[in-house]
Amino acid sequence: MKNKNLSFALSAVLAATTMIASSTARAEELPQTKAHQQFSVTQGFRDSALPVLHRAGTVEQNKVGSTLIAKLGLGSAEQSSKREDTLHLTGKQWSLDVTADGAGVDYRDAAVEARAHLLGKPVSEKMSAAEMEQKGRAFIAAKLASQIVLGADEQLVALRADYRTEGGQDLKTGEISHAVVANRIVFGRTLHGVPVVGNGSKVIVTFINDGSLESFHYDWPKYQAAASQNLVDAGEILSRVQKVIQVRDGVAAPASGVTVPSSQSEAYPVELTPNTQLLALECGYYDAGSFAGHAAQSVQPGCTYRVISQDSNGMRAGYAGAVPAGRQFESDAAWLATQILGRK
Amino acid sequence: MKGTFLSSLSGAVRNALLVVAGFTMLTIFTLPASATVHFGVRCEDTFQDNWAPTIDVYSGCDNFISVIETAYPVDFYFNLQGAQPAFEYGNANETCNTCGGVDSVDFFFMSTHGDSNIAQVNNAVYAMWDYQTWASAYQMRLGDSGRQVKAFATFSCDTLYNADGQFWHRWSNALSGGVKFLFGAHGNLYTDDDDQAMPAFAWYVVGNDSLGSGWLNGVYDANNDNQPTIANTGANSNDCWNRQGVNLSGMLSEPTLRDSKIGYACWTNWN
Repeated sequence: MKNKNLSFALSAVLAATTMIASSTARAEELPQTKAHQQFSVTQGFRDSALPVLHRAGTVEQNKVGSTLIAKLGLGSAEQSSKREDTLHLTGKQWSLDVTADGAGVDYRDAAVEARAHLLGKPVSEKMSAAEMEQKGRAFIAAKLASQIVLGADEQLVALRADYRTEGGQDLKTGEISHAVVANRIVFGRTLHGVPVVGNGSKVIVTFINDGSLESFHYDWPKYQAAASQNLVDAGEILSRVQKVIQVRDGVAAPASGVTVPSSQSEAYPVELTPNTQLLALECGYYDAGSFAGHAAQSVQPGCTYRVISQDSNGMRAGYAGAVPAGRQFESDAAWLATQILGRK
Repeated sequence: MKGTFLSSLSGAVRNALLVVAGFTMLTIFTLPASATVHFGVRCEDTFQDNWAPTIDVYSGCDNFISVIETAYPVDFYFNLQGAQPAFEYGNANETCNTCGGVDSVDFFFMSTHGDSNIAQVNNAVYAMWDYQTWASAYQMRLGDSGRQVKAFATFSCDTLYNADGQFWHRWSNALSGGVKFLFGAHGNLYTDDDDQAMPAFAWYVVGNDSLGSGWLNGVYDANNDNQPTIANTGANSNDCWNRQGVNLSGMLSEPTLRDSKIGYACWTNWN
């Protein structure tokens, strides 16, 4: 009897697990992204020094808007307004935002978005990351070629695939249904093999299940190289992350500091402070992007981090940000870590 | 910008706040409900005796308010000291505008820690400043009294978790009061240096864009690892999904659904 009960309980748990697994379409960091995260936490950078970059020049907002409206075959804008310093253009069923420097654009097609629900598919039939990458590259080549320009030894690289999922419960029957309704691919950029990390140099393209474009969002500046910074090693980078997190979450770090993982395959999570773990570190040129509203013209070597604090009850807090990686770095009023780490 | 709740305000500021609140209440009761959308904001980034980790949310809340105030009144901006009664159905504070009550505004916005399974109990909860104190969705019945809150938006982790099939169990009490939208997360939301998620959502709100996609896109674009969720109810499946696409004007005009009028609950996640 006891065994039967145990067996029943186990079956119920397995059934619940199956239900959960089949109803979720988790974000998928692509293999090259995971490899870079593992390299960053164990090695930091391949180079001992990197130049500081500058986001070069601006492109006139209206020109960017009109170029894209023509390229996308949208006709003409019905309304034009400003949301702070962002140009906001709208048509009957679409909106197009252009950042102040012209390097960032956000486009949404409300008519396509409205169709997404009816085209929902079982989560098991979600669009693969490979298909999304192929469709994303084709769209960028066809429609954004004059904006997403690659310089010498620059590459457009696929970073992650994300999914929009829906769930619903009929309250009379209790039946719960799930569907995946949109598929999103995120591209980034490398310069001479070094990635740009942060929200700068990203192209995000979203398709609904019939392949129609629902939205795109990009920040794609031109960069000019300036003076170099010598870079610190992985141990010092982790120490900087620990110091910044200590200030942000108010929990004292252990005196022993952070241990650099010895193996890339067992790199994460890294314990920073009691109950606080580093889930991902990505080193490169840190660019917060023009949508941040205060994009620094200076793009310094740095590492983005993703940290989770979890207490004994299971309550979590997420901290994201970036630390500078130069042995000497420039103070940036919009970059908290440079303020914290720059204090004497 | 943020006001510590009444106890620690100076006398002059407190009196001024009460006068403003008095005018606000007068406005509420002399205008049709649809004329002006009233917002209330409560945020907390430090916790008594450090019972929960510090989070940097005040800048995001400030930025949210700055955008909203270009178009709508924000009746209050308080922290979460002694705030639990302001979420509790039947408590006088819940409908009290000067107390920061959730049902004293049309659109309530909050940022603090959240959880869906604290101490292994399937309950959506929000951390208050006070030691080991939470506002619990079990104790809420949003939209049934006072000004009847229509939107409950929280930049907090995990409270709209739905992968375990327990969403309705967690939220049935709160949603049965008639609130039309829950904005939140089914997993982690990350605080960051630039606090772009909250003002980005605010621009969708004041621009009268779709609220559901506004939340999902604003929060996702700020950090691609964020896991935002929008949830609502409907008379049936079609009604539920139609309601999820409405803008601020649509939110006001949609009929309120309470208790047995609700036939369906629906939610959408990124990631």
